[in-house]
Amino acid sequence: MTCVDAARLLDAYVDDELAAPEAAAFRTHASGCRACGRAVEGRLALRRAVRRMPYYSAPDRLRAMVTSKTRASGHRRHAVVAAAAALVLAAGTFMAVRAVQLRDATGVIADRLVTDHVRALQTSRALDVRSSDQHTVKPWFLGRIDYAPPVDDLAAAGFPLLGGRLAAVEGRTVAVLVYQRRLHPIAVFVWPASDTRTRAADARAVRGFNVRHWTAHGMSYWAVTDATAADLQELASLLASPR
Amino acid sequence: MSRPFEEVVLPHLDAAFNYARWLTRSDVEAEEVVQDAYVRALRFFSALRGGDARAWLLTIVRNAYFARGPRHVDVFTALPSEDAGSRADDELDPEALVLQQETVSQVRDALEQLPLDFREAIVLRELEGLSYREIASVTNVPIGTVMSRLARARERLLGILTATVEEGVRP
Repeated sequence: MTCVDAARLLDAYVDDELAAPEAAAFRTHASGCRACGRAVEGRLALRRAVRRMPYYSAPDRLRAMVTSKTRASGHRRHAVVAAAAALVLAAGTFMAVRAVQLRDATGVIADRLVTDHVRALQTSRALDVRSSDQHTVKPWFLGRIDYAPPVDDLAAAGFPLLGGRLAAVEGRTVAVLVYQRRLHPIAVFVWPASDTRTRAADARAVRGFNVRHWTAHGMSYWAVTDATAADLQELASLLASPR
Repeated sequence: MSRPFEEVVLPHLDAAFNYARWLTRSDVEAEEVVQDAYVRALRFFSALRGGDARAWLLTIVRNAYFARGPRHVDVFTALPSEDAGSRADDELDPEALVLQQETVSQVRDALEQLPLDFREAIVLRELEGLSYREIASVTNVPIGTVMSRLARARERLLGILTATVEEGVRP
């Protein structure tokens, strides 16, 4: 590959849009060519700078307006679906449909929390309170939210506490505790459960992140991380264990 | 079974606002554009069969923005686009970029200066993480155009940002 070819493919290369053989040829060239190697570094430095900018999140006023507009239409759709189901489907089938809807709702929350987690990682404001001491982190939430989130000391089990922050989930402000597994942060979103029965965990992968949801001690937990699903399961069982 | 609008489209509200904010460079206008977009999205929701709801919504945001008429046409788009950002690669010193503490507001100002075509390519690629194919679909141009726009947009941004640094460093 010549420098002219490399210059033409530079952006496709840093954007991971080249086919494997082309990307390999590019890499070989750039590793031996100082100018092209520097061009790649420049692109990557620029990317870091651009991604440091805060994301423009929708203002609450806009969210409320759009939600109320779409709710009305959403309810009509639900009504139509329900009526059709009652007419043509047996009760058992209807239950199955309902289960799918519930599962989809879970997926929507999981997706949102992953977005929130990614955004928090991208900004310098990843934590509102930074401390490994549960007796510093827990009181920080006092007066900021209307419940006391459980904060655990799990450093001995290999999950040191990094700190906490606030997040907006489904229109309410909730506590996020951030633990760490090796170099991987684990964000644990927690709020009082509307249904306090302990339920089976829901584990899924969303855009490369592992997400796990469970209910324990009257709290609804959602954990998001790039650590492995096994690590996440371990943390979940520690947090769910009787205190 | 089709899923309701609330579950499919509402979760992408932040993405819609972020894109609209970069298109309009104004909070107020961005809110109006997103509201228009959601009205359109609601109307055309039945046309979305599978596919990526986010890219679909962003396309509608863009259409809503352009539907606002000529007074909203981006004046910067009319600037000649070839010369300003071109520069020999040898002048580029990545270390300077890496080491300097380019502030967030400097980067934002630089990105806001770019013509709309370039600005949206950067936003969709770097902030929304869309693929070239998705960006091509949202902005309604061939994939090759997406690639060349990104290349030129980045050259421009590097040009603006390194110029800022040099001004700042040299007495």
